Amino acid sequence: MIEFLLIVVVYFVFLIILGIYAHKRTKKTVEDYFLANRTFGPIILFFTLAATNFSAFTFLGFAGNAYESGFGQYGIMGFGTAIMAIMFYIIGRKVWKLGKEKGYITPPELIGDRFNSISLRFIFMGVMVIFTIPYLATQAIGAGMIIESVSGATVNWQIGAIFTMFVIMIYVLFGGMRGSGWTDVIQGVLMISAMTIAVIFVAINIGGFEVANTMAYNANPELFTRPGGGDYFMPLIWFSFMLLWIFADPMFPQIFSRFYTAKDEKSLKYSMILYPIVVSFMFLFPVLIGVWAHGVGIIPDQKDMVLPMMVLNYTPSFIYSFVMVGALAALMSTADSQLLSLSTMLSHDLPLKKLRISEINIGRILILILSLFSILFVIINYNPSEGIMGTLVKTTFSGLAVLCPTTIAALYWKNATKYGCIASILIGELSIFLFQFNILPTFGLLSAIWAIGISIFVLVILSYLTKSNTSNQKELLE
Amino acid sequence: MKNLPFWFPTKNNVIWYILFIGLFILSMDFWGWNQSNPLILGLPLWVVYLFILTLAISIVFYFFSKTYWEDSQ
Repeated sequence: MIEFLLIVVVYFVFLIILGIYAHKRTKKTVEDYFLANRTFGPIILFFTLAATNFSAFTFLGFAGNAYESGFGQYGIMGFGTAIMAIMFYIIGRKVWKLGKEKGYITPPELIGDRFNSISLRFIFMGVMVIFTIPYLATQAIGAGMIIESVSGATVNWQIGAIFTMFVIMIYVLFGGMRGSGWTDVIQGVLMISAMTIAVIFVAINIGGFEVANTMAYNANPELFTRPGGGDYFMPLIWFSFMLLWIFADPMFPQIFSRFYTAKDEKSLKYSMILYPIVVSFMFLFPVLIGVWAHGVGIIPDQKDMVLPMMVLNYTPSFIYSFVMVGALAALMSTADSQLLSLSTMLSHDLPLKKLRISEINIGRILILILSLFSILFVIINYNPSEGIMGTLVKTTFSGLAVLCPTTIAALYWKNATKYGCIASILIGELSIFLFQFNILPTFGLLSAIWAIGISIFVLVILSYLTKSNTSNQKELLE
Repeated sequence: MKNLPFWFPTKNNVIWYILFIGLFILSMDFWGWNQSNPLILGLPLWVVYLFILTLAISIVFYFFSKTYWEDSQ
């Protein structure tokens, strides 16, 4: 425990120093504070995109789900997330270009301007904010679980979550996007090396890679096939997940905003090429550890705790401490990006200019408020029986995926209208709840897939039925 | 040609449509359902297949960015 706390303290202090250094290098302009002046080259952009997307559930949730349902977890998460990087071209390239030409700072700003619609801008922002806040809270929950686990329940998970959120708040407050990007590089390297070291040490201490697999296979062969444990991986669920990430991931405000920060198209290209390579390994490792737990008879109280338990039992204590800090890095890199993107949207897209405070300072106040809000959310709403993944898939991913048709229409389809987009988003979101509460049948698909289909249908029909009257649409689409 | 929808493949990009949709279809390996053999290093063949398929995306992305994705002026 002391080793872990020492590494955590050094790591947290380093992050805060990096945030303060980034603050010194940041000019007092909105573009520099919120977008690092659009200067992220290939290395920073790749790491910040990867570290932002790989979160608490990459470490804890994947292993927990694999423990429950088997290797199918790798299939639905790995391939879908890797091919999602095509969106760096389809959406990222256009967003980057328009951002540079028009000076856009936030996703809703681009969408609203494309259709000359303040209502659409607010709705787009509202959806992003509403569905990102619970996701932000899960990162804090993950931190709390890790700290509680490592401390042998000496430190309560809520205290761990609050402490971690406080550190994140400090370096985001000081460093803005530059601080977030720089710390993402450190956190990205840390989480990749931690996960790699974890799987190597666990395999060696079980008796080797093949032995670990064979033991798990003998204990529970169902996990090595599909539909897997609990008959979870039915073909339509498989198809749903493969499609879901393509629509959902680029709609996370923290990912969407990062398209603006690219220095050039080369940075986006490199990120797209490297992304599937990292995903193919990084998503396999926690799944392996989750499945191997069956072979060695590890039974976690909560499924999301299977990875910490395996690492605790099958690696030396200093490796355990390092791996757990890697898990903290994964969730902190996501949380800091979420915090910044939320505060950027709220300060830039809401009509707060009448206040006699600079936009950067409004953003900072919002970082403070959002941090406190997510802590409150953690304390009040957490239901551990659902697991991190359950909470995420039920709310965040589906809700954000509905924004994707509007975004693609905004970037490519000249006949799209604001009415079509507004209806697409509102009806799409409504349908999610109808499917979620079984008012409408899903016929074996994820409700998100139906919602995406409905939002595309509504967008097309309504756009054809309403006249296009936006003056700047041609200019933006050229 | 001007009346084609924005998403419709053209002569220039049809190969990329085929490759990306082809990769997506290959990930729906329904022929591998209810199977766990043969095992390679203890892993079922379908897991190794998906691992290789995920890496293959990167190779396709490389050629896509080299040959099709032109930098803006």
